[in-house]
Amino acid sequence: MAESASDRNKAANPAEWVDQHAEAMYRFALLRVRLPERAEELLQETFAAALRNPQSFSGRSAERTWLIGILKHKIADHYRQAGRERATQTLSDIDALESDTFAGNGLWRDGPKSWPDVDRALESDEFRGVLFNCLQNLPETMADAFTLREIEGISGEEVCKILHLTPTNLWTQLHRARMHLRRCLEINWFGTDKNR
Amino acid sequence: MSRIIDWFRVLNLPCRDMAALISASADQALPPGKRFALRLHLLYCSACRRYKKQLAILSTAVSRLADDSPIGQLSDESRERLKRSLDC
Repeated sequence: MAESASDRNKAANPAEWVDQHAEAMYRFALLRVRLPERAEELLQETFAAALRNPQSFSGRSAERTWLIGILKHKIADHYRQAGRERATQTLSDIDALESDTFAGNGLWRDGPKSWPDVDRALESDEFRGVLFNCLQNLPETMADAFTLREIEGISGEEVCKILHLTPTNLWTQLHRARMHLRRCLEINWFGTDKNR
Repeated sequence: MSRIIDWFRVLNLPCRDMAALISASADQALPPGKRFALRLHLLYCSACRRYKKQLAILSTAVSRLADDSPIGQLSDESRERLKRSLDC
């Protein structure tokens, strides 16, 4: 079907972008970069890029889809830049949580506690808030690696390229991220009376 | 001979290393020796079984974060700044 001129005019409407799309775009960015200021900057950059290039809006997809598409590119740049900046850092051999969790002989000290009411937790907005907080508190590289793998579903090989990590380093980062997040949920949700 | 020693070593890895293998198995196919050692370990170690289950719950929970969760709100100030940046 041919696009009519009026469809096109309805299309890119910058005056409405903030009211119509900023909230959803902000959440999308915040989940991925975790810092509120950085998420806001990415939105600004996205809007600026969209203004510079309004003809890239085909009118075929929804305006929000188009804007989120640009935002995804900005987020990808953010990861690559963060990876380059951290490329020289070395991973510490010791992780404090690991030595807290396991005794010298490699056996669990206490072992994971039982988690009650998991189904209810998974449906709860408050639980999601706690989980996001845990993610925000992880060291940057760990959180980025985990986000790319578990939220974006990107292959390990690709994550290594983006974040400038060796495979061994990536597996260690992911292992530690999971260990920290699991523990954080246990302390801040399952071990409290929030889950009752 | 050294292969047998390696094999034996992998079979006897403690929980700390099994926890790392549990994580790794979520991202890649483990080599057969390690895969077998992990399976065997999980048969008798309930703490590692629980750990594995909880990592799966974590993974589910995280993927649900992407479904429009109220993880944070755009402040009024940010909203104003964004509007100003579009006024040009």
